Amino acid sequence: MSSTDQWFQFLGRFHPLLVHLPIGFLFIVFLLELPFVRKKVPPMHEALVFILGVGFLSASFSCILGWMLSGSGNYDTTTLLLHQWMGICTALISGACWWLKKRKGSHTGRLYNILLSSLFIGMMLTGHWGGAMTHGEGYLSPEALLGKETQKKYERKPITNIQEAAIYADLVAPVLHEKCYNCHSAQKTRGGLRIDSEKWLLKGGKSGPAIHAGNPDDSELMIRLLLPLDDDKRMPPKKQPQLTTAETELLHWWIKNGASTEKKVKELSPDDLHIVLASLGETADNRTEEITPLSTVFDKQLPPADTAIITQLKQMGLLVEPVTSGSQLLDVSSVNFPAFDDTNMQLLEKVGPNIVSLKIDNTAISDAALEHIHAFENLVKLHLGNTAVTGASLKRLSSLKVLEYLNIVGTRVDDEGLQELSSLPALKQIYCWNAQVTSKGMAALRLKNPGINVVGGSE
Amino acid sequence: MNDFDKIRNYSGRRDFLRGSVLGLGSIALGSLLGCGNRSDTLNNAGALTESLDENQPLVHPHFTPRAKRVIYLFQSGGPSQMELFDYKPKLYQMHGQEIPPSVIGGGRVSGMVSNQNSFPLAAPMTSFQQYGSNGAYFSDLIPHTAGIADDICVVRSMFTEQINHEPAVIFTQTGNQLSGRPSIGSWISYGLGSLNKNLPSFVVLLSQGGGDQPISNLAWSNGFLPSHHQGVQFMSGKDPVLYLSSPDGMERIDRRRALDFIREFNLLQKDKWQDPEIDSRLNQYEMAYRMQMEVPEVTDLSNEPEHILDMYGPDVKIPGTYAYNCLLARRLAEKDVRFIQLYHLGWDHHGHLTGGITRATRQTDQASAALVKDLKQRGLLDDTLVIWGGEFGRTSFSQGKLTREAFGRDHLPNAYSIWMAGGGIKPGIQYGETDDFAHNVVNNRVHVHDFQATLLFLLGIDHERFTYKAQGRRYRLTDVAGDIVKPLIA
Repeated sequence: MSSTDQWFQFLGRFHPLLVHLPIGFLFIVFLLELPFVRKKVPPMHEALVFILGVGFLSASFSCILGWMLSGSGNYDTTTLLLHQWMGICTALISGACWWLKKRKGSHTGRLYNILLSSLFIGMMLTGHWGGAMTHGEGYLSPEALLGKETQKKYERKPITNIQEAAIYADLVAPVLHEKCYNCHSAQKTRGGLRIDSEKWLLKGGKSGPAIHAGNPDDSELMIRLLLPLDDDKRMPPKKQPQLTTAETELLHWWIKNGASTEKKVKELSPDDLHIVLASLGETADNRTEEITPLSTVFDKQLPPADTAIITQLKQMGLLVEPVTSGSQLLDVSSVNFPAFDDTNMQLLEKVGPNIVSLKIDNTAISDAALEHIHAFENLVKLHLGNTAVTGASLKRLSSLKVLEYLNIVGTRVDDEGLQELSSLPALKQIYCWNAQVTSKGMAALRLKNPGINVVGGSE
Repeated sequence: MNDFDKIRNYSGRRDFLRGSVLGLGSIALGSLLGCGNRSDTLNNAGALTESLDENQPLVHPHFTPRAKRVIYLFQSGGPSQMELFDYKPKLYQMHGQEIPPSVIGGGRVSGMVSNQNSFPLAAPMTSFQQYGSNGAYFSDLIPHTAGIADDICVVRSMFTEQINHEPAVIFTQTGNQLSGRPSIGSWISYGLGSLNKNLPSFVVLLSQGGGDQPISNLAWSNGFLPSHHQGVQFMSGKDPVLYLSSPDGMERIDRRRALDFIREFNLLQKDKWQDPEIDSRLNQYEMAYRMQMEVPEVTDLSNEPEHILDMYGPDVKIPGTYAYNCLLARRLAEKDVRFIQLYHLGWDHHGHLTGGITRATRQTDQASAALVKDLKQRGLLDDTLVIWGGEFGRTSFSQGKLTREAFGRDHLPNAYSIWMAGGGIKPGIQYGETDDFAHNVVNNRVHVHDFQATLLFLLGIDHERFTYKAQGRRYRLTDVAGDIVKPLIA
């Protein structure tokens, strides 16, 4: 590339900067010429001529810079042509407006008004297409508003006959489709790179060809894939879905072996077979394994609890804290308030639906406290340990449909009371050490509901 | 307090420079734009300087926490992985043979063995058996820990960057090899604060009778965090917290009045100097006052029933032992102390490993297992993360002359084992794998920063977003690294 070309393209990069000047200038003229504005402001003929003049000049300059930028060839041709000609038209119209305004003074006729209106429309359209080129088609569309912007999730075509499967079409391309096409295809061409067909892969983008067949270490695609996650040049970028180790290995193997688009699975040697087929399997890398989610209650959006009541509870000595920053779900603990009793429960009940974890162990509560427990419909964890609670009140817990953890250590709950818990649908853990529960009672509960882990103490 | 004083007095030189530049800038901008009156602009400047202090504790976690508190049983000195958790049958067969040079590769050995001509492999001094529903191997030295095989997760693929004790301990505890950064417990105390208003959020228990290798209190330092977040060390004996009890003849009401009086002075000073350390000091006075009530109750083990004491072993009755501290740790966890850090010394077996490790395991095995069992039966293990581990591992080759009775093992940063339990950790699993010589990790490596990132995640904290700005840059516990080890999480 000659140095003039480089200069051209460098200057061209000022196009996105400069275009905003004529937009501003010409838009202010449009505003000032609106009939109801014109009535209110003093006549400013000279000022308008001047603004139109600089608008025309800056628009023309923008066109020239835009033309320089278009030389870099990284844009979708159709949109580029639309943007280019609409931009030139806009500049010409602004010139015509200027001329008319200058000639005719404040007595501009209908032609001027028409031109000014079309100038406004022209500007909007030019801007829209310009935006579509930088941000991708569909950046501003009804779908974007509704959040359906991301294309329908790509689904792989099932491979019916693995022997006949084509390595590129059935194995490589789907990986690229899943992880890369969002930004590098006809819809969006980030970095000037499209990879939605093999010819584009070889042509590459701003940084040169994406792949060098036979030489993965020299292929931009591989280099970008293997950069550290935090590197600015890393692909896919940090927040996007990443390729699994097996998929990366598949791409490496494919490029190394000539990036053929013809080869079929049956032509592979057994050594290569496992690399190629591994990409179809689940991820081998443990670190991409997802963590088992917690109870779905934690994803619930609830109306916020009454802050006046929360303040009252806090003054009383309870810890009342959101589970996470900004969450409406509450975690309540009486660790600093051992005097908590049945009457306090009535106040707590008012924010009951927001409480997911309630720790009122070692307090002065009795069975009466649980009379209000049905209000705590989102309770996941309940600590009642070392209180006067007895088995008789445990049947009230049956309204707790999402309760997973129950601590009745050191209470007066007996075998009979324990059985009341067998029907709790989400219950996973019961801790009943030092309660009046026998191993017989625990066994009976396990028999009724094997999903519950009853911990009675270390034998 | 006017804004000029605020800028003048508030903390360091950098803050002054930054505050004045932005503050003056905003005044200049205000007058350039010609808007607003003078007092408005000044208020803006004040608001700007205030928002400059980005160091705000999290208070509430980023994610739903799986663990509420941590008990970290730090085994200082470097427990030998192949005598405890990492069963390597090949070592028995190859006893006395040289370790293959390819195993050591380019890796460094410590200065203590670098002039050794020969590196003979030493068979582990004990045998292994399978325990638990997954048939995991545990050594005969730790029968009690083996007994809780189904409750713990053994990570055999830890590795660190440090080969000497002090930097390795500091690295594990603060995420950086040089001292001066906050300890994990300080980060947690700063980030999440205290649950129990009468007890500190970060308590340190140092056990006696382990070994002579010292441990520096920099391991539980608050670093650049406000100083009331440093670990509060509970001593053994009559006064668990030094200088906490009032002198004879001093009534609690007198203490209160004295504190209130001192507080007035401190607030005056604070108004004048705006030193955030004055807040820390006020905090510490108040905490000490409240602790006077709570601490004697927590540390009084007299009402613990005999069968509980028996679980922890005979040492539990001797204040200051590891077993005693384990029981104390459970009592502190019951009181919702956020971070309880135990240190046991005596794992540094360069020579006479047989005797040393027998002693160390006898002191720690039963009590560690009892702690997990005791927490479990009380339903506390569910949201208490228990960690057992040291700062690095040991070599499979002998340090010094190899005889059947007397051999030693040197420090090894490449691979070591730890275990964790409760608090959202997957129970009953073995994670990671080392080579036949327990010398290098071959599968599922876990770096110290990965371990720390995982620990923070379990407490609901995103290690990448949890920062504190000091000396002109933002610091993280995990520095600039660390991945959450997802397979460990239940």
